[in-house]
Amino acid sequence: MPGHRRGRSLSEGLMLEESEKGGLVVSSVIGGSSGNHGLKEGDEIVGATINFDQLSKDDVLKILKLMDDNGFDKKVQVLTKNNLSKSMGTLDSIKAPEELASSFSGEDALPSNLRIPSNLVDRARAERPPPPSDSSLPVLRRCDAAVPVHLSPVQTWVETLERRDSKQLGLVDLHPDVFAVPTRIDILHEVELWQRNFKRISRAHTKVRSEVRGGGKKPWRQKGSGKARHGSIRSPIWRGGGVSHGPRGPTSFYYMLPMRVRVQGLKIALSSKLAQDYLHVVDTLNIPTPDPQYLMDLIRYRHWGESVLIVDVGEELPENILQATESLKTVNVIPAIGLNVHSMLKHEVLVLTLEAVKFLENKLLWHDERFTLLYPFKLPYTDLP
Amino acid sequence: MSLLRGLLKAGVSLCHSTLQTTRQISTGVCCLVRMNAIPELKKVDRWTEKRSMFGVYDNIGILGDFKAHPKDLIVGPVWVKGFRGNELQRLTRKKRMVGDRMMTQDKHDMEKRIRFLYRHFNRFGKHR
Repeated sequence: MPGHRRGRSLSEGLMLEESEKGGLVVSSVIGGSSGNHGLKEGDEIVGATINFDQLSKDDVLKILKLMDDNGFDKKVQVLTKNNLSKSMGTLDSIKAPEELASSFSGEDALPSNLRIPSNLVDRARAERPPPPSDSSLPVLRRCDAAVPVHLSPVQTWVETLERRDSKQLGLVDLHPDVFAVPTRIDILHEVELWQRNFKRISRAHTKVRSEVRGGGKKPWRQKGSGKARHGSIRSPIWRGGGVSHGPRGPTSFYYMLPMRVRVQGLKIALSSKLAQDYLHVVDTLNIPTPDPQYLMDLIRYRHWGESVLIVDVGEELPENILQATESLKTVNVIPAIGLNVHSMLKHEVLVLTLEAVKFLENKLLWHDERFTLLYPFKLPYTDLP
Repeated sequence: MSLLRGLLKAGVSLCHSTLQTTRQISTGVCCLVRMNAIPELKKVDRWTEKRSMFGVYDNIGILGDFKAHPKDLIVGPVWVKGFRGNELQRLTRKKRMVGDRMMTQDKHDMEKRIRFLYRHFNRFGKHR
């Protein structure tokens, strides 16, 4: 084939060639069979995922070599044909890496219905500084409740709010039945609608013909006046008359979803926040100054997002953070009792403290293994805490 | 707009054909709505106190040991909090709960309405 350029060889001993159209072709296999991975001479490599088992494109080869030198925990930037930059963290909690569909030479990498326009990709989050790869962070908290045998706890970092550029303190284990639940958007939708409607009382009210002032007397006699026959001046066909089928009085739209559905909605919201990289765990909410600017600086420096919801347990929250968030619109602090799906969807980022994580796991896991209601939980039960 | 244009064309053609001046008359409703420009979008602040704190404490039962129920959070008239029903049910509930405190004219109107609705639901129509 004309127009070849010699590609870099992998440490395993494969010679790659790049054809005109940009496809990578294996020209020859050097070395033993251990590094082949089933690739033969003449195979065209069309896609890449950041799996260290498979081959990648020339640009990533350099990074792969660097990663080989420094360890496997570095953040990887993958450039596709569409110039989308995707960043993937390589850790225990692996978010599913986007696999490029196999592309024949000349076509784009993704089919047209899956391509994301580049202005929707959040470049600020892609620039988030990754945690250090070489330090082994201690696990600060294990799950209190028993984790089912077939699942394993999800992990995430613990950070501080003390200094703007402080590093991660450690890791925390999160129970998979709360933070790694399969996402059901229909349940989220149901719970969100419930939250909107059950409190709604519409006070729209119109008067019926009997309630409008006046209109008891027959306006003119039945026959002989030459006018249409009418019985009252406040009938609905008259101007100024009553409304026949209008809204009547304060109407309520109250209903309750089953308790387990609401609990499942909370679990799904938490899992989605974790899966989409919008959940951060913090050890405490102590900040050095009550200055709102400090918080905004911290959020922007760490590239968290636009709006932040901070959750802590306990009736008394630290004064500094309360003062700081008082004047800020998009950063809000709520106690853990006030957590709900609508607030989680409204705010982009969710920040939990360690105690809040413990509290939530405790409360939400209980519903998986409880007896069904005999009478409302308000009334005393002997075995409930 | 298209009606006016049609009328203009008809008018022009009439002029050409009959050499008589014709007056444009439109009897439609399209000339009543006047839009000289596309109206501006109203500016809504999505982060007011009410909007950013909406929904907080809705799970106070599940997360708060069941000492309170979300229906205790609802702000509104007593006879409608945590209750849903059609008009007759709401009015009879209002009469039970608040009837002795009501003003005379309002109470009289409510009783007339209850009487009417009772007869309407139980004596007329397909569903009795």
